[in-house]
Amino acid sequence: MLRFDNVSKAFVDEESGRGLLALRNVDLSIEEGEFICIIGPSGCGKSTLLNLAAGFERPSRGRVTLDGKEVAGPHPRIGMVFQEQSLFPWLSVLDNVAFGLRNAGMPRAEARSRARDMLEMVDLARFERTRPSALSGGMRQKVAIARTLVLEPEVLLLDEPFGALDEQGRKHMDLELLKLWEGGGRTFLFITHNIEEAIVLGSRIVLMGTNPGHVKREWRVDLPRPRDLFREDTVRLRKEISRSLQDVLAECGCKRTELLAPIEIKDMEIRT
Amino acid sequence: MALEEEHVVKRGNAGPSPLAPEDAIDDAISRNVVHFDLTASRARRWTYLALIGLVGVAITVLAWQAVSMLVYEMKGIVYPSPLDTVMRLGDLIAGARLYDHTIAEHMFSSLARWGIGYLLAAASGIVMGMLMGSSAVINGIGMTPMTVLQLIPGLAWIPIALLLFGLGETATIFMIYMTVLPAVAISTASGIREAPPVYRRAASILGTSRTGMFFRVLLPAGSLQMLNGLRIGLANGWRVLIAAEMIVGVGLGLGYVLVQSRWTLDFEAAFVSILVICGIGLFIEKILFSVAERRLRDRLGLEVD
Ligand SMILES: Nc1ncnc2c1ncn2[C@@H]1O[C@H](COP(=O)(O)OP(=O)(O)OP(=O)(O)O)[C@@H](O)[C@H]1O
Ligand SMILES: [Mg+2]
Repeated sequence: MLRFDNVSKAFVDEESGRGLLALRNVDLSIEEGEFICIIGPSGCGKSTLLNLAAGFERPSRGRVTLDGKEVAGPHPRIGMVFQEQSLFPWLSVLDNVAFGLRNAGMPRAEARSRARDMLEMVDLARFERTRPSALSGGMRQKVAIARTLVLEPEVLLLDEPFGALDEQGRKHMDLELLKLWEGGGRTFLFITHNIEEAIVLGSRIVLMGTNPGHVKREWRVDLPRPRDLFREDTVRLRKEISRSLQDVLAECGCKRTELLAPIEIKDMEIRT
Repeated sequence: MALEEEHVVKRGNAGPSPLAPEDAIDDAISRNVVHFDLTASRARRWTYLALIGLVGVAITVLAWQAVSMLVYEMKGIVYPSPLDTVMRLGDLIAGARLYDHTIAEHMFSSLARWGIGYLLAAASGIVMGMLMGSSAVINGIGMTPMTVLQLIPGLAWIPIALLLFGLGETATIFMIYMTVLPAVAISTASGIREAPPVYRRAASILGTSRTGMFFRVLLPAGSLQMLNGLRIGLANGWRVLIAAEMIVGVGLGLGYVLVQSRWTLDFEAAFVSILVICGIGLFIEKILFSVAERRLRDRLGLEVD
């Protein structure tokens, strides 16, 4: 169980003498096998929350624990997939996936064969010799996921992993991710901006508010899988979450871009 | 998954070029194919680039010729023209002696000096840069001295070299060493320190040890910048070598030829020496290092263009 116990996080900059409270009194308990989706406006501390769970940052107050033990630093028991491209470009796809196994002292041949199996699972075995730079964005993120999952982490943290993909690619990746989750009984902690994505994936949705970042509301999503976005109760949930998100956005004065995307046509240029 | 296969981006030889492969594009459109071959237009592009390069050389040679004619007209002094210089070089290559030695001997003695100084400096610069890259404290200690060293013009080392080693071989090597070292150390250190933080984070959550982090992540991530420092050091070292040979009193070498020709008023020899110096510099910079960089980029999985 991953627990945030009254966690606050402040960033202080000694040089400028300024401090910023990014998270305040966050309580969150995540059971084994849950798929948590975190949504919230930009800057509300979603990434900070994940970085605390990964051990990249330490909480200023409170504790982050995994099975009762404090998360003291990055550890392969907790995996992370980053928003930006994080594969090592100088290694082949296969060696990227084998990287963590080699760190754990596994002989090269065995590490590679395990990595190969993992690539098989994400349908990328054909590309084992390829360098990451020759893959599409979605495929790179799949390799990044494989690179983490091959270490069999108990918790997988995903920080808007498909944020750079187009809608089509994102939906495709969502389904792939779901397959991996359903197959493994692992805990996923997934950040997204997209309510629909959260509803398709999550077993629980956490809405965060801002200034300073905090947990605003949670929804347990017991809808049957695969999720149908147009079922009546799904639509109701979508509306409810949208409304809450609107409220949060109104509080922080942010613009709601996703639902009320203003369609403005000004000074339309006509090119001939 | 066919869809994904199409997503595989083949990068490498496209890139904007002055001679866009227009006909290859037209051909692809008319044949309705996705992947097409650029070999033909690439060959044309290389010819084009080579021609452009030659134009530059031609302008330089013409300017030189013009100056030599003007100087002769106006001052009545014989100023070696490109042709004079090349012919003299031919003589020298054919075996004529210059200050008791063949031109090849002069050249190789310069190259050897430079090679020794450079290799010593590169090796210790890389080690120093790696140490600085591995710890903020060492970096803090080392950065100021290295920056100061980099600010000292190569020739300013002459008095120090003479004091330490007297006239001769060691003094030249010392001067090369001191000029090359800071460029290599600084770029190695900053290459390592400026490696994208996400690699660091990714590696650490994949259970990388401290040494693994350094050698398997930070070093490869910084190696391109390291190569850059090696290249800058090479050019700086070459320049200071010639200057050092002119002053620190060695009886052999291109710089020695240069300074000696002044006393004997054999300006043709000076020009030959400059020509050879430029030729070697150009070869190393444009050919050796370009190839090295290409290979490194390829090994690092960066897009080759
Ligand atoms: N290392 C840091 N130093 C100082 N401030 C930071 C640091 N990391 C984050 N912050 C600040 O903390 C707040 C929360 O940042 P965070 O990146 O967690 O937001 P986010 O919810 O992930 O936003 P987004 O949706 O845009 O990714 C922001 O105001 C940010 O500027
Ligand atoms: Mg973020």
